[in-house]
Amino acid sequence: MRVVVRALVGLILWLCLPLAAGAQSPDSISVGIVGWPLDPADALHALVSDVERCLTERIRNVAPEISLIPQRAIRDALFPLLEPATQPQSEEAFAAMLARDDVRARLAARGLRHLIVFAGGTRKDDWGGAIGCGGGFGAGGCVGFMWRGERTVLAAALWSLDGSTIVRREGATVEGTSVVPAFVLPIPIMARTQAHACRELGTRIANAIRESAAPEPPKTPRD
Amino acid sequence: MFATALAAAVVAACGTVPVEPPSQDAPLFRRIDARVGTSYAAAARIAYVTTPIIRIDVGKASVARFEPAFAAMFTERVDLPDWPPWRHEAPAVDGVIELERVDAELVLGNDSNRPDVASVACRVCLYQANATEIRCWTPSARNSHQRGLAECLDLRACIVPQMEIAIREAVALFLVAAENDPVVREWAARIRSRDDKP
Repeated sequence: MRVVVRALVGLILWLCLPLAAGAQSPDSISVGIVGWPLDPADALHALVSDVERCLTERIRNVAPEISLIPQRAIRDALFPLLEPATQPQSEEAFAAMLARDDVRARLAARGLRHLIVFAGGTRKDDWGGAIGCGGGFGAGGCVGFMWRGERTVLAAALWSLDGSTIVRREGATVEGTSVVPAFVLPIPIMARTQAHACRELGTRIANAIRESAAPEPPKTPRD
Repeated sequence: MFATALAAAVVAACGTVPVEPPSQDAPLFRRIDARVGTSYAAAARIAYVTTPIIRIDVGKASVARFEPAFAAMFTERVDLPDWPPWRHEAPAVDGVIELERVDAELVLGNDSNRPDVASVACRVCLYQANATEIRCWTPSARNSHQRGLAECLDLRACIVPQMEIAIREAVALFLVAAENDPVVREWAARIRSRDDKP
């Protein structure tokens, strides 16, 4: 009986200790992420967006020590100041919002020192070309070629919450063309401009956070 | 007849989807030093939108968001009972804030050229305890989203967040307007000066 209990306790400790260690990692850097400015015409992305998901994943891969607070939590914490209808209209207004005592206190309570503010999206052209499909007498298929250009422009600013200032700006622009050749069967080969731009931007932002969070080297006296 | 009505009610109840509740964080607001009663009229509480597949209790979701909003606005808040109506028996408070109406609409579009549109309009009024109106606000919000092909195969995944965002925005607009409202600040100053008098 005692052996079983010991084994169980051992198993629980083995399962839980890594979790506890991860949760209390002393070098963890808490950073918030939020999309701004939001397009009021399509505000569905105010709570979660593909770009946010992608940036979060990339930053975690590049710098696992960065703990990202999602934009939904940031918007909830700063409600009602960051809703599509009430969001700051300029960078100065955004800085003024971050400088408010209640805003600083709210973000500081979450241990945040930086905020990633991202914007941008993907513009897709209309499809060009054509594909025709037909069949008969027990056989069928398609013939043709279609294409569509797309361009993703993403930008992010890393705000320091200490001084309500931007410490780094990064951007990524990726262009590509989706094609669908059809010979018997249409085979779509999609351009993944958003994924590529997001990957590039996420890497840069992760490195920028690392640099900002790194302690300043001691100053050497000069003659 | 009764069976049909009952069946419809059961279908409606089963298809009711909850809207995400507000977070634990109190809304940011420069608190007004006043003891205020809160009231939620039936016309606000029972508002809902329904489609052939889902029903959203917009009134319930709105009340859930206005409760913390009202709590953040005033230093002291008292929940007024439904009965007797507070207008008939002036409660012992500095004022009463009431969510009087919530009107919501949901227009389903398609995945090619017609967006889904969720809209919410509210009416909130601040009264003196004797039911004299101090200020009313009518915040409204509208969320439009064009579904893409194969996006939101489960419609609820798009429609419910749209409605949630519309409610959030209406409450946010109300809070921002009320915080900067000179009439409300004047009223608050009058209460303070009255309380300061020996």
